[in-house]
Amino acid sequence: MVFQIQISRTETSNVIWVGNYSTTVKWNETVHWSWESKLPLECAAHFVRIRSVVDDAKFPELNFWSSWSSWQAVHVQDFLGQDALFVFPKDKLVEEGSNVTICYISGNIQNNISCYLEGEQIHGEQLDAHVSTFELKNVPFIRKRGTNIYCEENQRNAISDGTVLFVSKVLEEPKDFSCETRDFKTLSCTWDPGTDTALAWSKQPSQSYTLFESFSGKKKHCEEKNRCNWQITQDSQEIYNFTLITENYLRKRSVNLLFNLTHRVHPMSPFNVQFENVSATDAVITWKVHSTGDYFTFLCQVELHGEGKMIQQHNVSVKVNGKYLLNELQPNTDYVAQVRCADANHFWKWSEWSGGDFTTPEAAPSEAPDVWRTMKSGSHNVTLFWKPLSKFHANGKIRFYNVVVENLDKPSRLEHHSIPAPANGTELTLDQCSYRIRVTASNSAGTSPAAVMVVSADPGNKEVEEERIKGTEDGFSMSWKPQSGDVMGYVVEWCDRPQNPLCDFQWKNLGPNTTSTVISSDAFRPGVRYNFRIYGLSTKRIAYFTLSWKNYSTKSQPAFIKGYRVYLKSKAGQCHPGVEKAVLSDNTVCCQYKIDNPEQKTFTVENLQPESFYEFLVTPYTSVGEGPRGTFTKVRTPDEYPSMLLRVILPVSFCVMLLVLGCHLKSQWMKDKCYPDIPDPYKSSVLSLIKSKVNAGKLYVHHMAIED
Amino acid sequence: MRTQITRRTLLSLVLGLLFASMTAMGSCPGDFQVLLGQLQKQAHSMQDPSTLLDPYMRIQGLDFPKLRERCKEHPGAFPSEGALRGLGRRSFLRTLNATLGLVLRRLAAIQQHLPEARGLEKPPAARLSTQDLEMLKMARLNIHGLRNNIFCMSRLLGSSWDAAEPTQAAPGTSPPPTPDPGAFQRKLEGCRFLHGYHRFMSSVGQVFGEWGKSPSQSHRHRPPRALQKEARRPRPSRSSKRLVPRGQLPR
Repeated sequence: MVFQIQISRTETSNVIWVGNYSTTVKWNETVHWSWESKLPLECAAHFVRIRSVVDDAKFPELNFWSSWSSWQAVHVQDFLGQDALFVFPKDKLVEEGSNVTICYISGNIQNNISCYLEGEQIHGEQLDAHVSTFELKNVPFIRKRGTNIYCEENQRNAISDGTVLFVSKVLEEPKDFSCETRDFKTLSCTWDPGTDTALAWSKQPSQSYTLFESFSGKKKHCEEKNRCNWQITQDSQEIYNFTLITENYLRKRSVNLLFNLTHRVHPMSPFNVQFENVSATDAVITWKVHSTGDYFTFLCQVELHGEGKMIQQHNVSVKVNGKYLLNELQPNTDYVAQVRCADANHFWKWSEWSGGDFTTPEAAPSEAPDVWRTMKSGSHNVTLFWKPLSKFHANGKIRFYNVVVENLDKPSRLEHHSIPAPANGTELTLDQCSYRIRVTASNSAGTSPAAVMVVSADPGNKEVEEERIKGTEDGFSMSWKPQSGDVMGYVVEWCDRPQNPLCDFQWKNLGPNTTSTVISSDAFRPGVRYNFRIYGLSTKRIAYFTLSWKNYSTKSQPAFIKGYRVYLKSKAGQCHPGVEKAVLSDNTVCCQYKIDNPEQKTFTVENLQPESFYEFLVTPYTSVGEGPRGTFTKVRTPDEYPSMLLRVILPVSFCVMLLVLGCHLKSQWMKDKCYPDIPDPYKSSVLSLIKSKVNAGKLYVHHMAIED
Repeated sequence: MRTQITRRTLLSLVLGLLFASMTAMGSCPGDFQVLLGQLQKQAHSMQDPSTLLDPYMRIQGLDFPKLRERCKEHPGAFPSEGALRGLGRRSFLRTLNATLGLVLRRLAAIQQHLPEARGLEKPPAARLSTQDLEMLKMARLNIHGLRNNIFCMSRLLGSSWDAAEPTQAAPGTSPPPTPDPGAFQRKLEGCRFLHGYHRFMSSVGQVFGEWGKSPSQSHRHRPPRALQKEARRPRPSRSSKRLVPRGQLPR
């Protein structure tokens, strides 16, 4: 049936609304229908009437309108008899941006009435003598406690009545709606709810959220405003079609999400992160991942951090247990390593990081200390100075410095000195012999290569050029003539009080081609005299060679490597004092050097004869014994004066050769010029001429003075 | 303005914590002058409309001149200063305590209708709103603190009163339920009530001030029951056009 409804206001003839309502009806059943008036019903009398028609093809004969019912009056309340002012609607709930009609009824038509919205006067239209209306368009949200609208009777100068218009923020569609699982047991759905539309005075609670899944038909009311958990059932449903519905008193909104469960896996963070086989240069990180099925593969990312920055990143494919070798590490260094994982097949999100820290053990220092010395004039005491190794070269905490003194003129026992760190020098009491001094630095893992210097018995030319230079803001600029002979390098030393043992002694190493430098230091003070000395370092060499087997991986050996043995064969068959002799299986004698640190993979063989042949062999040893001895490798130490060969002898030889060749080619000229024969007068050509003239008739005698 | 609010907030906080700590410690100052001094300071602080009425008006959007004019105390809603002066000290303390209890219940009701304002209103209104809400909370704390000191003073004066809440009206005497006057009228009722509260506290401060001038006082006997009735049954206000009988202080 179709019902037609008419609504009138103030009087029945003033029809303000007509509308049709179709519905199916049952016998004796009440039909309900509602209509909301823009003008509050309290402000005017309203009248309603209705008529109907049967709109059913089965009963065409009934398709005619019935008579109108009588007008039904709707009087909410009669205020006209009261000498008072009433404002309506009371506590209406509307949405921000909507239009609202406010009205007041005044029992006393003589009163001049003013109305205000939040302190600002508003102007309306008079509906009749007692009623005025105000159209509020696009009402804004002001506060949760509502917008105050009030009217006053000007004669009384007092607020007569008012109302609160509760303007709600517009319910927003949930944003960023997303669901994921971490364990294939629960789906966690989250979203951004936007503005909370709750209002004060219990007018409207916060909006509600409901999850509905269409394939299962299940629904769940969400307790929280921005997340909801959904139980994953055992029926292995993979595809989910969620609708998130939000609702307040005024509006309802929804968003949809369709996804495959296996594409929304957010793994739990890895656990049981550990570090194994941590050595000075590498470590193995291991971890476990939470199992989510036999066919699940994780893509894990390993990050290594050192000194506050990331230095390595690697990707690893993992099923359950992860493992990765971190190499190229620095000894004695703190590291932080962390790992996170994601679905390798359908990446969704990384898990949180899990990690830990470890510290690599010390390794033997990798560089020889920077050493220099001073000698007091008139004395053979030598003061050694050395600079602390940098962290990069120290590879650990330097425990002590070793100073080995060897008398080159009287080979005997070596003099050993061990100076505990921290130390920056030591004093040696020597005599008038030449000494070779070797300085090394040691930490808990081993000893550095040696810094070697030779203190000659002959102090050399004591006449030293002295020059006065002036310092600038940049420092002291100085230059020198290149030293004759082969120079390995130069050392510039300086201090402020050279005779004072408290002198701040400093030095700087320079290359062999350097002939000038600028010495600058924050310690230089204005007005202070500094003494600089420049030394050229002789190229007289001590024969040695350095062996290196850095590529030998101790980790990948089938046994625990405890150290190495270096065997050295020479023609002389002699070993330097302090070096052990060994007899090989073929009964040859050789020198044996022992290295007890498996991480030490370099070794310098010193005190060798120049221009000599040697054979060496390096072999590891374990607790059971040595490794296989391969063949010895031959090596020849360089000449003592190789530069001189190149720079002096060759040019000289070449010149001599040229000279000899020239002399050979021009030997006759040389002979004539340098040592001509004494002329024989009888063989002289002049005499031959005289003879021929005599024979001609007259004898002319020429006097030839033969001069000596 | 904001600086004043901050200073007053701090003062309220300090006073409230001080008094709450005294309760926690379960100890009362034994010195009459010390306790009286604290009571005077509290009364002086609580008479200031900026501690309660002003924040309430701002929160409810009543902070306009024409609405401020409407926020005046209903005559009879709170005991007058003259009536308070006429009471003996113990009776005065009992009346003060009972009235403050009613005020606390009213404040609790007000706060129930105030959902948190954060994140919705535009700043700086949001900041102001949050500050005003905090002041409402502080006002309740301050009243609790004052009641604790009232209890201590009554003990000092030898009263056996145990600071229990005043008994409710007996069944059968409760006023008939009134139709909802609407949120606007309820807002105005609230601000009128708070205006009366501040006036009441000013009167209390005056009375305490006189205590200090005459430490040894003679007890004046006036029936306290009439005064309590006066506190519970304010005369109906003419301005109220809602014909709602007021049997007791508005809830």
